[in-house]
Amino acid sequence: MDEEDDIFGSDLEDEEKKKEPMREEDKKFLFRRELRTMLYGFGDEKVPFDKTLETLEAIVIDYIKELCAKAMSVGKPERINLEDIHYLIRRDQKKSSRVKDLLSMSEELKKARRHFEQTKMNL
Amino acid sequence: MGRKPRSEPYGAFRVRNQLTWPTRTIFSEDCQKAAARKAKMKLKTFACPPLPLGPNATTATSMSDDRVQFQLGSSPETGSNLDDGDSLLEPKETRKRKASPINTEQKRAKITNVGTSSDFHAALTMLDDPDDQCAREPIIYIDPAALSLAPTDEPSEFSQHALEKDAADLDGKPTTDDAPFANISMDKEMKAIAPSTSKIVTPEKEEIILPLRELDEEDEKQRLKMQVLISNFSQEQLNRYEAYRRSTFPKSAIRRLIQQYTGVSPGQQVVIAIAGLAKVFAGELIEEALDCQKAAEQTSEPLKPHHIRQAYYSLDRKGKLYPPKGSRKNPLF
Repeated sequence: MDEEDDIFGSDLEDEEKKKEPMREEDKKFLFRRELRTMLYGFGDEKVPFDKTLETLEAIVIDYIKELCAKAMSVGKPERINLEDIHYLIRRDQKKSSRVKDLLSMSEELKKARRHFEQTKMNL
Repeated sequence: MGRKPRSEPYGAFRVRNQLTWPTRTIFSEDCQKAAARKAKMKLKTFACPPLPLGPNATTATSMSDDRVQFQLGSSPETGSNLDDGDSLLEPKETRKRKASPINTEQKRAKITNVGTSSDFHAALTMLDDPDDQCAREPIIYIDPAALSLAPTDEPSEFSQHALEKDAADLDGKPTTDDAPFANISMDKEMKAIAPSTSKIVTPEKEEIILPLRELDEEDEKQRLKMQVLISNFSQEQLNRYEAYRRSTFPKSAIRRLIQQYTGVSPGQQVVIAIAGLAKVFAGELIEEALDCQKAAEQTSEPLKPHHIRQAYYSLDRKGKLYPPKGSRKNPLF
């Protein structure tokens, strides 16, 4: 039933996606294309089974939802903060270091973009 | 349908214990030290290729230009020179691999992701070594397109510029807008700007940088090993690596999902964090599933749902599902 909501959502937003024409099934689910690439990247064959994708997607979406639910219950009520995420992840070394890395990268990117804009304006 | 049986080389991706490469070891170390890499170590990397390739470096063939590189004219023949068993993969015939310029640019840009933060720091601290060799080489500072943060559907002009810079200098072709000279002057501009910011934060940076100097030794070793490994990849492996690196969950979809489920609209950083977590989680799941499949000796086909489910329960048993599921066992007992 959760996937029902996702189906409607993704159908409505379809025009916004500027990607190549997707297969029919891909339009109905949130993460099909990305999961396909990820499966290949992590070691599976190039063309995975559809059922596998379905299962994977269900599990990942479930994971995200549970994560958010937990984040809501921790810290400020009715808000999802970064600190909550850190708190929830702290035991898992791989994930926490990945999150830190991503966030620091995004910071550096922002800085670099700002510099770039400044140099562009100065030129 | 032409599904090849799984063969050793890209199994090596997942041979976690043998190669220093894959997800667990390199990534976590990389993350921890990413923000504090000392520039000078990296400048050394730029200036002096890690391998004794003095004469060879200058004879970089056009093929070597197509190869994945971290610095100009460096290690074009790593495949042949490295038989020290460091990489478990036999040195493939990398010289025969033909890659189109666009692919190589993307891959090169993608690969320099590994040293991106260090490149950034290199830019910032270049005021220390004004006549360093690095000044002449417009290494990609930050290439947003390369990071998993910003996959191909978000090209910024910055990354375009970076790619063009790369094309100009490594392929010797003129860029679309200007001669390479313009790119170099752009670099100087960047460096001109950079010192001002670094001056402001210098005191803190020095404090931060000092205690981490020792770590950068192994950090650099790690990066060199990565370079070596990647330069030995076959086309198939490079494709797989690219898929691994570039795949990411779309932030829009994640934001929508969170909004639907919680009714709260999350901040941008939260979305980034959750997208990254989801990818790591998916990776753990897939790797576990591949292990299950291998144990059951069904490696000739793609993964099946029951493998995935098996992997999920296995992770649960191991306690790796902790957030959001599973109880938190005391790690001391």
